[in-house]
Amino acid sequence: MSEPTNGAPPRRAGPIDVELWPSALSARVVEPGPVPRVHGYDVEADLARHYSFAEIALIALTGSAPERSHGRAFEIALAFLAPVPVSEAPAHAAGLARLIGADASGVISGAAMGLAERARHVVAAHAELVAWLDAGSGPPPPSVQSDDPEDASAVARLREALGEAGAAFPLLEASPTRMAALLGVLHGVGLTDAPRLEAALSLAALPATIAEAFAVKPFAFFTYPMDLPAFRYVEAADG
Amino acid sequence: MAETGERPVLPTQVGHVGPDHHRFRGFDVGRDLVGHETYWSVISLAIGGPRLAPDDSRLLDDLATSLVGPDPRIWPWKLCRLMSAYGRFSTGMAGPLIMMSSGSVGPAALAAVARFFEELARELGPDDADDAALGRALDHKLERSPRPPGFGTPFRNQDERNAPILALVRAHGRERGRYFSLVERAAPLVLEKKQLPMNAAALVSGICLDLGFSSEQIDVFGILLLVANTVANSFEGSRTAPAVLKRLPREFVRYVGQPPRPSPRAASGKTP
Repeated sequence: MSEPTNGAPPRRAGPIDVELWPSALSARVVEPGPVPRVHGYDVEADLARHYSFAEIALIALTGSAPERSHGRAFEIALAFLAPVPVSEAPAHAAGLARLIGADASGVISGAAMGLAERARHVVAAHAELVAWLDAGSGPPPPSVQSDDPEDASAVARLREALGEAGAAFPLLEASPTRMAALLGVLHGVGLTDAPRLEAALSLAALPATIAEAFAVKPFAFFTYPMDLPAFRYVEAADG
Repeated sequence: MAETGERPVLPTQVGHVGPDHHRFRGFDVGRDLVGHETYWSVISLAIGGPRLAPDDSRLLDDLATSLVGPDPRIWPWKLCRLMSAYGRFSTGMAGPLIMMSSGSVGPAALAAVARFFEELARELGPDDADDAALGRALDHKLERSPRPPGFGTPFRNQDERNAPILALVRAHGRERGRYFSLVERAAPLVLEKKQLPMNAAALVSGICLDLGFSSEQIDVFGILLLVANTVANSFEGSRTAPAVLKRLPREFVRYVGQPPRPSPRAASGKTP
């Protein structure tokens, strides 16, 4: 029971006060301390010398160190996923935030939030693909196949880059869309659930999205197409 | 070079800035709303609802006050503290709202509860005064929702907010509302069938549904009715920005992950 000092009646213990709670926060991935470790691997003496930044991200997300070909495949997929142009909402919003004077923290958190929402939307739209990848058999769902030549070219470049790294993913032979192919690669290197796929999509695009926003000049209002798209106000009675 | 296509157009019913006024949902803000409408009435208009009668606004005021409970140990408000720990109020407000947007705890829970009772009412149809029919409809719903939204009170036997909410509903003479009655009648049945006591979200959703709002619209009230709690914690949190929230002392963190181990590349002595 806590005793107020201002003459008010004493407060009675509430439900949080009487429950027995753990006395410490649990750390499950990053071991804090002078020798920081990720999933047991020494970051400074081991991972920093033997693994790329992207591979360390993959270790963090999967819990184990990847084979070289999988590490390289992950890097290639992240590279393909890195550019999110200003036409897409996350980069547009981050740039608009910069225009109206957001500081770096505001731009970065806005970009991260927008990219996380975009990733959630993309992965949800590919739920059928993820289920097929989990099952690991049968033909891929028609919804992720494409006869668009731009998709075919991108997938061919992806296949070529992966081939140089010694990595092959069967989905790439089935005329997938560009995004389906990339999700297939991410799934193949161990990111097998929606949260981890969303994490990879968000991480990949964050640097270029932030950079696009940082390139905007704050308060240069007349450089921004304020009436694009053109919102047209209609009153309810106008239909 | 761009600028060759036709500019895309999006309709909006929300607002337009004129030369000397703002239009909002069909009203001239300065002429029609200022001094005439309450804040809650404007919120109702903002989400496509009606202008609210004065007692509806007072009911929402009382409801928001009854939901003030910003103990910073409560999980959603702890998020406000952590997100504002570096001294920024707005991050303490916005971060937790995003973090809780799909959860079953915090503001987002209210819409899920409202959906549950909307569906229950739909399932009951015109039989909604028949207790046996309600029992059957609940059985059917509970098969699909083993933990129905609006029921369950973690780490306590009852929701301490229920009594003040029940009192204010009676004070406003709203206890006979269709949805509020349904919530009150469902509560003992769910307690009997699932041993889950009703929580405040069930009562609040019943009130909001009786005001004529849909579950989609009620999502907004989940945030606004609880906003004093996020404001209180984000404000005090950002002003005090305590070091202990920026970083807990080592002795209060216990590592339970993988033990120390060499990576395969370090073990093989090969670097890329």
